Amino acid sequence: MIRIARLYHRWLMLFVGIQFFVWSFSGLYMVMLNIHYIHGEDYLVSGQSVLPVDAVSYDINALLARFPHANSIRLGWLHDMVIYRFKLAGKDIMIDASSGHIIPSIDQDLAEQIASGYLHKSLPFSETKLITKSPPSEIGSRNLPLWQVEFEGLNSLTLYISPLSGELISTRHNAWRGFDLLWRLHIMDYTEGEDINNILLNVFTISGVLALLAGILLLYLRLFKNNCVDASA
Amino acid sequence: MFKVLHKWLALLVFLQLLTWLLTGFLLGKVDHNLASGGANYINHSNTNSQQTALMSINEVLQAYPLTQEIVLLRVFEQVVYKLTFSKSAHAYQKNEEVLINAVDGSRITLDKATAIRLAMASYQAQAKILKTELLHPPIEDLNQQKNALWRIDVSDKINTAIFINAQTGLVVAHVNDETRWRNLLMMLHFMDYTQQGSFNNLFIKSFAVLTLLQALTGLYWLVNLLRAKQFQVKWFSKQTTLTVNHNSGQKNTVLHLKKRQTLLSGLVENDVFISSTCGGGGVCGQCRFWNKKLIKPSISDIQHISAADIKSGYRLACQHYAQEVSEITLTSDTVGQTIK
Repeated sequence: MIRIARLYHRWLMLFVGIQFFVWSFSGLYMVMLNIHYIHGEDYLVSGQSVLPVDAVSYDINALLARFPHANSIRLGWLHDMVIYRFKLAGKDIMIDASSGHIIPSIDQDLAEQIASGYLHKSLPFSETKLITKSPPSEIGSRNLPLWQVEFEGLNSLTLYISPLSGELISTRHNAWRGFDLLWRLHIMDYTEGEDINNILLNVFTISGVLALLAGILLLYLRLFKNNCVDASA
Repeated sequence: MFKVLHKWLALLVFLQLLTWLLTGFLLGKVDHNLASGGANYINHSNTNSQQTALMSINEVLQAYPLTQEIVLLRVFEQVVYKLTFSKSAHAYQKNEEVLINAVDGSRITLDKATAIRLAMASYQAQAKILKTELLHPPIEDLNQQKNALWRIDVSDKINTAIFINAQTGLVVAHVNDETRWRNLLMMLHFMDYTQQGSFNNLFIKSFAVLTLLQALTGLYWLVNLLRAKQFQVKWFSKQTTLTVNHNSGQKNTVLHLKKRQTLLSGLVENDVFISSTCGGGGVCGQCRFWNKKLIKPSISDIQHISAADIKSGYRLACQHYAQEVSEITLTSDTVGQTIK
């Protein structure tokens, strides 16, 4: 019996042993690093400044009269400016709340200032570029275009800013990138990294259960039975 | 050493390993669309079609000087401003937001009737309302939630509960039996026994370390076995004969074995008694035999047999294959006794 248990444990683990290592290593990484740090929250200021009482000279009634079909109207900050943001026929529009002027899409300078404004510690810029097509996989299916503002430092912190709304869309850094890679390895989906029911994973999970059960039987026999391998084994 | 560690670590982690594999497998089988509300959940967007004049923004800011952001919304017949006083990175974290009437600036408290109306507007099917209550965290079914919520239970087959943020009226979630099943699986997979809705807890951190050690010792063992060529398939290998001499006075026997079969399995399968408590792991050191050919000793041979005995020809039957020898002797001390 114990000889058979050992045989199965050994051969099955020859097949799934590496994946057991991958599961435990990736799992350890994911549980050890705080998920809020992975999301980039440690780098970002929490909340925004209070809107100054006299910030708005261009009132919302004027705005509504001018754009009667505006949707999802919001008043908030764009770097150091108070602006209205809204959707008009699916498009993002920004209006300066003191002058009422339309704000054209954000240029590189402003994108960098906005990105810096989100950080609670100032970092030097490394590279900034406007992404209009073939986005990096780390931003998934988010709408383009996006400003990619990368900062210097070991963690290659990168903020993605929408040029149309001036808002922070994504925060990425090397610890996040490591997490993402290990997550894919953990669920054995090496493409999109989303399918936790793929065939490869199922095959390895079921083989893993069998290998584990053989190991548990082996452990039980080793600990609680004084086996002699004889004809009845 | 790593073999001993592997055995005792196994005793610590085997139940959790089984839990991880099973819950991981079952999480793959969850209907995630249904668990997020399914076909009954509709999320409708706000449209403004405002006729009457609104309270000016400056008046709002004078009345609520801590405002960081203002959003114009419509809650049924009413046009409202949603004022944000403080906002966290996630909606489930503590957020300070209020609704005010956008025409006269009065505070809107979300009463039971409005909560029910908002809930049912997000619910596609027809169902009776079973229960409505205002909850404060910690909230069952939504462990991470740190804001007060209205909970509206409706009578459908999947026991849907609709959660409405009590400050803002936004639909937080539709929870049903599939969601609860997923929550249970995740709680077990993340070892989140204190129900914090997080996998950064001390239980899982300690088990993750132990499990990695278990995997590493296992992997090291596997590599050793591979290097010692211990993974041989006997099925297609040719036959060979093995003469077994007994020092104990029994008659000698001639066995027909596969060339790529370990001596231990060959002896056992032919009803020749040999002692072993580990079943061929090279761990117990009991399955000794003697052979005059002085075949190359394995690491386990060297660990369990004294140098003098190695030199004179003793080896372990689980470490060697039938093709290596044609004749072995089982001495009395190799049978049924514990050595070292």
